[in-house]
Amino acid sequence: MKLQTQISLIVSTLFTILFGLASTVIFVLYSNFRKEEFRDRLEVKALSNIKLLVNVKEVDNQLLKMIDQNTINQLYDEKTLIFDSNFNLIYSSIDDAKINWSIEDLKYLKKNKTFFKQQGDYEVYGVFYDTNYKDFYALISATDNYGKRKLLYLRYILIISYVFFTVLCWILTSFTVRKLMNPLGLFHQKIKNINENNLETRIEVNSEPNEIDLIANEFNFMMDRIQLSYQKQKEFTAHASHELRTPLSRITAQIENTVANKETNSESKNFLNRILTDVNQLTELIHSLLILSKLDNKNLKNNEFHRMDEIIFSSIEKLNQAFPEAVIQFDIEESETIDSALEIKGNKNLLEIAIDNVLKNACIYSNNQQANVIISAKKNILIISVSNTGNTLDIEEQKNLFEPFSRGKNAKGTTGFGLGLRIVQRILIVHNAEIKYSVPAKNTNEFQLIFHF
Amino acid sequence: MKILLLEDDFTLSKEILTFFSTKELDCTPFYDGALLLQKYKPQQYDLIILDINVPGINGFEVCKSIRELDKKTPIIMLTAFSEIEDKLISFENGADDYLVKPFHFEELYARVHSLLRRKEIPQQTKEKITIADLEIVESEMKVFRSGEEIKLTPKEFKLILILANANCSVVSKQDIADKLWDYHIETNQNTIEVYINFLRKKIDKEHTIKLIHTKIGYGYYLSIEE
Repeated sequence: MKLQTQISLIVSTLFTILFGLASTVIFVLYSNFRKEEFRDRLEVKALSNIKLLVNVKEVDNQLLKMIDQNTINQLYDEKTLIFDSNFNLIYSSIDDAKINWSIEDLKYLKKNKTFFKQQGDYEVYGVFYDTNYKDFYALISATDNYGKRKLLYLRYILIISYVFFTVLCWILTSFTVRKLMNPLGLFHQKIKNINENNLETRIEVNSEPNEIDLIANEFNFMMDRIQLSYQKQKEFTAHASHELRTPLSRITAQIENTVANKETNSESKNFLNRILTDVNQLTELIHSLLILSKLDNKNLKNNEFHRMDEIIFSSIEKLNQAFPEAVIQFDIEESETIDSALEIKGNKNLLEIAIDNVLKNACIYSNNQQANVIISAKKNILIISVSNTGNTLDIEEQKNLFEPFSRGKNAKGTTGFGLGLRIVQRILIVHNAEIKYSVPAKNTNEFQLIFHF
Repeated sequence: MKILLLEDDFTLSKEILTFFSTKELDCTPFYDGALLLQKYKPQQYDLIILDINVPGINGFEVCKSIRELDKKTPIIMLTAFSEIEDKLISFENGADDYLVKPFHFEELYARVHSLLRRKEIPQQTKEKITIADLEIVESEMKVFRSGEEIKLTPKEFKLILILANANCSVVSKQDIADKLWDYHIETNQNTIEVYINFLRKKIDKEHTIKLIHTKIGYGYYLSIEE
């Protein structure tokens, strides 16, 4: 799981739990507070009733009922029962209302002085009132509509705010974390795209660096060192290739002159010609290594447009000097954009080398010295398809097709070093293009060079 | 034929001399660029071969200095460097050809021969083919319509020339294919149509009078009239 997702999940989950706990605590505390408050009110009411009945001589049962009815607004569905010391009911506020009571309750009251309990929707408060003359028990029940409505309202508020703020928290956390992690994402993207062709890539570092900037800074230092060593390696290959050319020229020149000399016997000539073939191969290898070492896009002139069909014609011409028997079936598929698609921005010499290599391969590995070239344009791409008939590559060989010094089983009996396609691929990368191999039919090899325009 | 050779590698220089002697070419070797320039007199040689990396003054500079004195004598640059930039510098400095080491003597000879022959053939006079406001200058490979130059690729130029040389008569697709592609290339006729369309876009699209016409089922012709 990505760090960004992990942080978002942890923060959001923690908030969800904490806010849930806070809401529950608020609800429970308020619920208890309401109960306490209601109990106090019932107590005041019960005691005032007893006091009125017992202490004020002028108040009798009827008058107390009158007073009760007038103060009914204070408590909903209120009912008061007052008992004397013998547990006789001496006062009942409303006759039809009912309080479930038993002698046990009154005995409990005598012992514990008060109780407060829930009876269905009603809350019942009992009190034992002890005067100098007589004991009284009062049971008062009522429903706390105001309090319960407030509690219900609070519950709704808490639930709605819980849901709302939790969702908001998840969204904001995800957004904030993503924003905070954005430099890391960019960092990742840049690193991901680094390859041997863009070693000059560096990460931007803020003037007030955070942890990510510090890593980026170190990364840039590392890239400096890698680029330098890579450059040195390439320069070495380039210099070595150059230096090898002059002795090779000497060898070639001496062999050719000795072979041409009439005094050289035929056995020596054969021997020298075999050496010459090896020298030619060596020259080709050095040439390939030099191209690979020089394929550094920042130093190349890639700004001019070139017609790919003309580059193909020029390659075919060169190919025919080496393979006079080779025949190329060349076709262009008509489409609206074909003329603009054929104009590819890049380095003419490199594009020629790429096409040369693909065409040469197609002829070398063809079983009839024939290659087919089809140019087509689709949407924003130009496809140059080069195919031949002959032995095809298996899946394993296809994986290593563009690796340097890799040669397929079909290369048996042919000369080469397995650098040609590597060079093609490198050249195409420099031109923002790609090469694909496929086997469209039995015994058919197809290379597609795909250019984006 | 006298050839001047600037090559600092003694063995290679000796071998080139041996080869040229078999071809009955008289070759004078130099090993130092500065010394060559001291001794050089215009028109003294028929062809000059210059290595780039030589002591004294390098091959590019020698080439440039020779061109200031002598515009005609063909120059071939010979080097171990094969970079594109080197080729461009060579041509900018006035060289006529470029050969990368190691090379085969036959290749060197083919180039020497070609340059010597070119020197002997006098420059062709400019021959123009005109059809309405379309002008084709074959020697310069240039095409103008209403006085404005139209950039054609070599293949497109060859195609317009095939049509123009037919003097307004129809050229069949097969004839076009035979003349347009060398014998190593095979195409189907749709590809000819594609190239005709390329030409139409460049030559006729901007103009009310169309010059490239189709004879359905047969071929194409270049004419002011349909």
